Amino acid sequence: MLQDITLGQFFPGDSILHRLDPRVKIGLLFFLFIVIFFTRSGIGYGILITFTVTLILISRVSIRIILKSLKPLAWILIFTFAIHLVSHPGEIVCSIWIFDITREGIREGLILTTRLILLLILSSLLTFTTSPLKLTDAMERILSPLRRFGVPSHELAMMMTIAIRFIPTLIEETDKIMKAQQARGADFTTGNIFRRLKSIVPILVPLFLSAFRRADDLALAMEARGYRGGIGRTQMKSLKIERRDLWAVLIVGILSVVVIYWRI
Amino acid sequence: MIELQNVSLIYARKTPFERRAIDDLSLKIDEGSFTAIAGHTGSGKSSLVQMISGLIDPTSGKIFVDEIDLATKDRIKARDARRKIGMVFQYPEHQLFEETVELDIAFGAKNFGCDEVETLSRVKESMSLVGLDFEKFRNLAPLELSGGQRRRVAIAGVLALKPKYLILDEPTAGLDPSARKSMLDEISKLHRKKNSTIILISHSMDDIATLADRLIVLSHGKLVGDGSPRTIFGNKKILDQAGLARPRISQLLEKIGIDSDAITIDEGIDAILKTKGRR
Ligand SMILES: Nc1ncnc2c1ncn2[C@@H]1O[C@H](COP(=O)(O)OP(=O)(O)O)[C@@H](O)[C@H]1O
Ligand SMILES: [Mg+2]
Repeated sequence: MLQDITLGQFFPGDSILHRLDPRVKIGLLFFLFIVIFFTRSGIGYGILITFTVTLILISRVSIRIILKSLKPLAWILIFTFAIHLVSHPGEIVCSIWIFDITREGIREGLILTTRLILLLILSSLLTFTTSPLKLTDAMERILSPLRRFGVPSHELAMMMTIAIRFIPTLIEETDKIMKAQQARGADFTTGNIFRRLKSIVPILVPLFLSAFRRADDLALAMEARGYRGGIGRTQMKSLKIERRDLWAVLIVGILSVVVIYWRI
Repeated sequence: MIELQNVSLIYARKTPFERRAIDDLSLKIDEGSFTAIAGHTGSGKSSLVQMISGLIDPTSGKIFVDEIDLATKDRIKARDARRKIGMVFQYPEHQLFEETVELDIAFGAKNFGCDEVETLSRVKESMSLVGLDFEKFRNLAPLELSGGQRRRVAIAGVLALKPKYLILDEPTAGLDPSARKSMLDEISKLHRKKNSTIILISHSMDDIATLADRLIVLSHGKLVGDGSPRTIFGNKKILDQAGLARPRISQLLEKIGIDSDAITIDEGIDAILKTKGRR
């Protein structure tokens, strides 16, 4: 059950998408978000969908995993679509009970759900093809101009790195503790809400204890290796813009011009 | 009897992280036996025993506990079969959560539906089995105890379930030498006095040689050796394949040029005395 979480997961590989500079990827992702929000035409979405599918193929992340990353939000998508179906006045296609489904509603619903799905897939592609380390490194670089205004960009990035680093550990730990308590006859799946809440205690207490223990160990280990925060720290692998990054910018740029041209 | 028929286990199936932890494994474990499982880290030992205790389902194959298929549709039957197996995880002290030692040990027994009186008597009994004084420890918080004592509390919590089969996953890992010795003594006592069936995962060939009457060797999820510890330790091919060493006493005897199949300290002493006597 806990193994089904793909959020923020990274799938190692060496496709072009994996090798692009993470700052460029983040930048282009935001840029594409904007383009997607301006687009309303079938042609526009046709191009964007083709582009996204091409990216998936290039990344060599399997389609099944992409679909799995959409699954937790399937209900939100369906709900959004349904709401739009019935909430736009216009030419009525058919009526169900008190709801009138209009041509405009169908159009709006389709546009919005397509937008959401594209956004989700593109963001997933970012995390699927970028190692968490590179991702936070890029975040730190992108935020670093804000240091002047007191934004602790290095500390934020370090916190994120550590948090991401420990997600799998905590999932594993939870899994282990759950099994251990199940072996002692604990039951997390039946009974009313109070019984179930109570049944979480035997998981949470050991989980917190181990998280604190790990945090302590980590802090000590970092200090022992001379960590004192971001000032003066250099990087082992500095990010560098390569030719392929420029190509990526160019391709997305051309694509955006075309899509924006046919946006309506 | 516990029986595994062509059991395989694949983790993270159909993802890039897919891993075959157990590969087409069949074996039987008799009542009253003391079986040790050895193999390098990642060979599938923990996965195997977790399947036996019904905590994870095999990807394919069947597991029977006293003739009951763990995957049977009859949920009561399956549950009762699972409850015959007590499982002590690696670092079991990390699952303690109650305020006092007594409450923590009682947790499982209560879950299994024991009344107050029965629970109390089980707590007392299992505490004495692991060598913890009931009156002295009952009201202490688990966090106040030493590592070795905490582990005893955790094991007592499993013993209070009165399992017919007891599985211990590396129960001495991370203990200091004296805590380790008494832990092993208690496990051995449990086997002899209570006649419990014991499955012990261990990296210590010395411990396996002294305690177990059967040794199962895993390598990359496959069964590569199964027999008495003496047979296995005499089989260089199996040991090399699984990356295991022989007990230290056997290594010592070989080094000083005594030809013997001794695997425990006592046997080793006998072998040395015999050679000395001959001279
Ligand atoms: N929950 C899990 N999810 C994915 N892979 C796992 C999980 N547990 C174990 N594995 C993998 O299965 C293999 C066997 O692991 P394990 O049974 O823990 O071996 P051992 O106890 O002999 O060290 C290892 O390669 C391990 O990485
Ligand atoms: Mg293990």
